[in-house]
Amino acid sequence: MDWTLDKSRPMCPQICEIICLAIANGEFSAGDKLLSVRELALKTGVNPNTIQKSFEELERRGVVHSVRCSGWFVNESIDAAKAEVDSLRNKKTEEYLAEMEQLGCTGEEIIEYLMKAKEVKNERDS
Amino acid sequence: MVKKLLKYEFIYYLRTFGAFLPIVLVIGAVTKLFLFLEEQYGGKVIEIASGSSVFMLVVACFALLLLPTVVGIVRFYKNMYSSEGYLTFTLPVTNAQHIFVKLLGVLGCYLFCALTVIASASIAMAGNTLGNVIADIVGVIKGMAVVLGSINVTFICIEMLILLILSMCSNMLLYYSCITIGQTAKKNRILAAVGVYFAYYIITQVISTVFSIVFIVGGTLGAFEDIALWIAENYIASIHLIMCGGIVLSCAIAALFWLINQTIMKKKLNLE
Amino acid sequence: MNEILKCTGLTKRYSNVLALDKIDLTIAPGKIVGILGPNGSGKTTLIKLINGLLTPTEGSVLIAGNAPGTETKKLVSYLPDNSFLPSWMTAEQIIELFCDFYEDFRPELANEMLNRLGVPKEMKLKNLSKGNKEKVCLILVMSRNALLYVLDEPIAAVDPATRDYVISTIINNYNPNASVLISTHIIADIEPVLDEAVFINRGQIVLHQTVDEIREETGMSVDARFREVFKW
Repeated sequence: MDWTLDKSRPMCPQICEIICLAIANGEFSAGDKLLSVRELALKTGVNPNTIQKSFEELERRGVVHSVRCSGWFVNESIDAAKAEVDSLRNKKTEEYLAEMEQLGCTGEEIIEYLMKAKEVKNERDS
Repeated sequence: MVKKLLKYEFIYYLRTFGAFLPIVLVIGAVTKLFLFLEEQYGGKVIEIASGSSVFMLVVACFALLLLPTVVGIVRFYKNMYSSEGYLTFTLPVTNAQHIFVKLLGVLGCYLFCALTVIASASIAMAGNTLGNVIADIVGVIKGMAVVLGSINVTFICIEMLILLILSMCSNMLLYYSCITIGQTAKKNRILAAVGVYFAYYIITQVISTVFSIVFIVGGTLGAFEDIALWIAENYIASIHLIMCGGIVLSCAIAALFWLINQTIMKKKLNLE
Repeated sequence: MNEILKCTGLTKRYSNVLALDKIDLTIAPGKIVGILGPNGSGKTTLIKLINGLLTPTEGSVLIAGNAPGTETKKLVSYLPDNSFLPSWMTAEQIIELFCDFYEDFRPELANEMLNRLGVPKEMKLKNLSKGNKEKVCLILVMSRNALLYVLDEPIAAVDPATRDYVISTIINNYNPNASVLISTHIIADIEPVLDEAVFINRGQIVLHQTVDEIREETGMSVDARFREVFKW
């Protein structure tokens, strides 16, 4: 999990996103125990209350549930986590589209830019 | 809490000058050795050695009797008003307890130092000299008992002891007050404390000068003849009166400085 | 008791300088609160008032309902901004001292932390390096099981590794019944650990919000927001 946090955005949603992504990517499976509030706070340097609030938010969205005295667990169904990641991806794409349109690109041009950027990245990576 | 505070006072004192006590005892023993050699063999070299050793012993004893005051003042300043004060004043202890323990600590040190001085001097004089000195002291007391009555001598001794302890206390409280008043200054706080001390010194000098002028002038004009007559007739009661007067005065002075300390610590504390 | 600290109309005047001007501040249990302001803004004055090292000119400060005194000193664990421990004592002796005076002190925790950081316990404090001395101070203060921790500039002069250590110590020691007050002017490093931020300037509170509110409302980090508020 990549715990890079953007200090100019509220911490809570960022932590929710990272956990959802980890579940969707299979780093945690259905029913797995998550890190404790304290462990996660120590790992990220984020306030324990904020971590707790993030878990509670994820519980409301049906991603995780708490078991008394033993911590937080991934729900049996990970659909909710996947849906969260999906909506995050949609949101990011929309933001990107809006920015590119602002720069005067049409739909086809944007796809061209994307293909080109992907090729450059592949070359660099290999 | 007082007991715990006292423990750290003694740890500090032991660490600061605990080593002096055995040294002074050793000087006493060395002096005794040289005096013994001088008596047995004589000779210029041993004479010089024993002379200087006696001199050293006297200096060491005087130093030891001054030390508690000096170290007590340093301890008070450092513990209360240097950076250590941040810890001292946030312990769950009242200011009164702090001052009380500081006083008790210094008195305890005086006791140990006085005992060491007596022990060291006894070692140096062991043998005939010590016996003679003790006999002299006993003789003086016995002589006094004959003149004044043994009950009066006992009481006068007790009064003297109380007066000694009280005046030590009021003196220490004076130094503490000077430091406490000094720390309300914005800077040069130690200098301010010294200034406060001298101001107090001058004021007391002026007051005692005024009193003695009144006394001398009054005396030459014959204003105190009745009192002088009464003292001559009731000299035992006069001694008690003077002692008790001293005790009351010391108490009053101590109480004044105690209050000054308390008030400033409570209302005007200003740690650097 | 639903507030650990409550300041009402708290004012402190030094001869003719107004250091704090009618401050109202309430801290609930379980919060980690940053007192943020430039140097000379009144942070240390506020902290000294909380610890009974100063008396208010006007207004009041209450800790768990009590004015500063012997009772509150049992509840407040205070880290001053200078090294406040007797330099002639060893860490071991100071642990004993804290055991003697603070009922809530946990010596095993202090020993464990000192061991883990490799701070020599038998050495007099004055012979320790500056960094180690600061660690001893922090460890002793955080080893108390206090109701309110007051840390005055705990990260101002330390290296980045120690800074992380300070933050993880605060998190490790987190207790939902206790609150932590951290004063600092270096915000970026500690802002993730904060619940609330109190911006203080020229003796007045100019802002008191949760840090996520600040980020949400302004789209800025607390550090960036601070720089904006205190721009000149």
